[in-house]
Amino acid sequence: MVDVSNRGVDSGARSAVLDLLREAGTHPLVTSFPHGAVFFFDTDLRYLAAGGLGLTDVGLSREGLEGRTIVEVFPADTAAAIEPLYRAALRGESSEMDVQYEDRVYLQRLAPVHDEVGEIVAGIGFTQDVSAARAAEHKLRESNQRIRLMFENAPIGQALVELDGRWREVNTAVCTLTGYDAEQLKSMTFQDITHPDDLETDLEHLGRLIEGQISSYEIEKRYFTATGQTVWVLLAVSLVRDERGAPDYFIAQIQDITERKRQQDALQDLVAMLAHDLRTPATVIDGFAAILADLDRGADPSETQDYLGRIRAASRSMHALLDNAMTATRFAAGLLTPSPEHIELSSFTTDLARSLEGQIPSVLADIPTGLTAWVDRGHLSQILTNLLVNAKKYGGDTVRVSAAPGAGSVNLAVVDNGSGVEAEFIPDLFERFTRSATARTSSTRGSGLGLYIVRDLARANGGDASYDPSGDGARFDITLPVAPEQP
Amino acid sequence: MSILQVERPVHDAALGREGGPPVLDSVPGARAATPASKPDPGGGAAHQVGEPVRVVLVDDTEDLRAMLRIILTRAGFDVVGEGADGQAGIEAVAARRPDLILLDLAMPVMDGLTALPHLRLLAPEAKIVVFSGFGGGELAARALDTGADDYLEKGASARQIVDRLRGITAR
Repeated sequence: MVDVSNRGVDSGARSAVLDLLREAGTHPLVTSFPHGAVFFFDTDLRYLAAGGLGLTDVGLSREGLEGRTIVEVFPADTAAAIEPLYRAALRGESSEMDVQYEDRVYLQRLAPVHDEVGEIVAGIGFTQDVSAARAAEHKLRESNQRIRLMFENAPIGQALVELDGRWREVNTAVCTLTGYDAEQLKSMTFQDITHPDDLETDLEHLGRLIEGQISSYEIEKRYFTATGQTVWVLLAVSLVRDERGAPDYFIAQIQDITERKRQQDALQDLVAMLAHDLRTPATVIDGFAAILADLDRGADPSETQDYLGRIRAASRSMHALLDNAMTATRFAAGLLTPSPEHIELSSFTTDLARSLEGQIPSVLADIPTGLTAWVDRGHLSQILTNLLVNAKKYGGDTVRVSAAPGAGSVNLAVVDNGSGVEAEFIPDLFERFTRSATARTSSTRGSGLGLYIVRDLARANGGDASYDPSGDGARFDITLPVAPEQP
Repeated sequence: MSILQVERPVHDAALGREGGPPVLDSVPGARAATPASKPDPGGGAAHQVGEPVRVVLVDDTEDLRAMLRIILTRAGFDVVGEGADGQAGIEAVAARRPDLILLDLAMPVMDGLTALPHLRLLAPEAKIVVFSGFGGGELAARALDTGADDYLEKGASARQIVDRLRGITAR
């Protein structure tokens, strides 16, 4: 380490350099130094020379600096702040730092000045106004940050994907969607989590993207989540090329459409089921109409009446199916609004059973006269019709409908003497059918809309529906309010 | 010339009821195999030329069975048994040994696809025609794989039904 404080051994070389530096204030290199200042200082931290076009910008001058120490020139806090750096330069340590002065930013560089024999005799400093550059950098940083935030917090999945399919960057939505965290995904490829049936289509599109045949593509596909579930996504992909036009990486936007798909499938199922269910009564009507058309003039009038009765019953069952489909659709769309009224359950049940004669088992009503429920008339009719038709379909030949007052409610029980519901089907009994059309040929209860409608309607009216497995036959319990709910 | 030859009016036998409280409604229609009304003639042999084709109807809709019974009877078929579900259908076929089985798919207790292989084993010579509200396609293929000879979609007219069944029993 060079001892710069030892002034006693002032060599000729040292004083020659110092002399040169004292003259430097008039040198064109110094006087015309752009955008800032240049200065020299000795071991006493006294300015030997100063210059530069930026000096006056900060209220300084050559005359105000030369021959003065930093303590004499600057306020105490400024002097204290810069002193360690000045001293470091005199020890041979260069430095570079931004100095805020008034509303501008200066980059200050300090370095030692050596004499011919390599000893440090003074320090040199440059300050340069970097306000514009720093402001630009700041803006860029902010802009990058904004882009980053937009990427991170976008409600739909966004990802950068390598050409070989590895995830390079993924946002939070991708993680939420797939159930993997960002680090896990980055160690995987999109192929790893793509449903095998959808992979080929995806790869084919990527190939065309790389070939330049298309500029982007959009497909619906499935991913497997970390927990093994399948999610449907709408995937949009474009390709980023480098400066030379070579493919670099893919940008992917990934939107979860599982729920939309589910609704689409449910609607398709509903239509398929309706088509199936309507064909039977339509065939019955068509058949009996053909039979009637071919009847002899002298045919037994009771025979004609029988056929007409069957045609009417088939037509009514078609209406019931359509009502169920409409109710299910309206309920799903949030459009099911009950118009409740006080309904006397005993006469209501008797009338309904009479109107359904032929379609339902014999009904035994055990309802106290005068007991009422606060319910939409059409909805109650649909609830009971579905339960009674269901009882007939599943093996009951007698249905007992009973009602009893409960706490603020009426409990309605529909009990048949059929074989009841097998235990394994009870959990899904009131679910809207989730099986495919093929599976729906199965003989289980609840494969249609009937029970789903029953529960939806009961709930829409402020009640509920449940199944009681304790008896031999099937027992359905419906609770309904007795009076309007007090606000 | 009509395909519907009136032979006899058909009325359903009301189900027997076991006492109990008064009822509001009556239930027409058989829900199990129709009891044999005459002895099984041929022990399930293939249809003999000149004899009426003997048919068992398996469908859970009583009115549909009634309609088929009438149009098939008028068309010269002999409806010898019925079942309201797959299980009852198997019983009817076992008891009646028909030449032709008309089989619905979506039925309670036992569906048609489940009943099909049993029916096939039980009546190897009989023609089995699936008559379903489901469109053909995958289901039809499955039914044909499982032993059905033909697949007829509900919605066919009375004439189409009769023509199709005549066609398949003439083969």
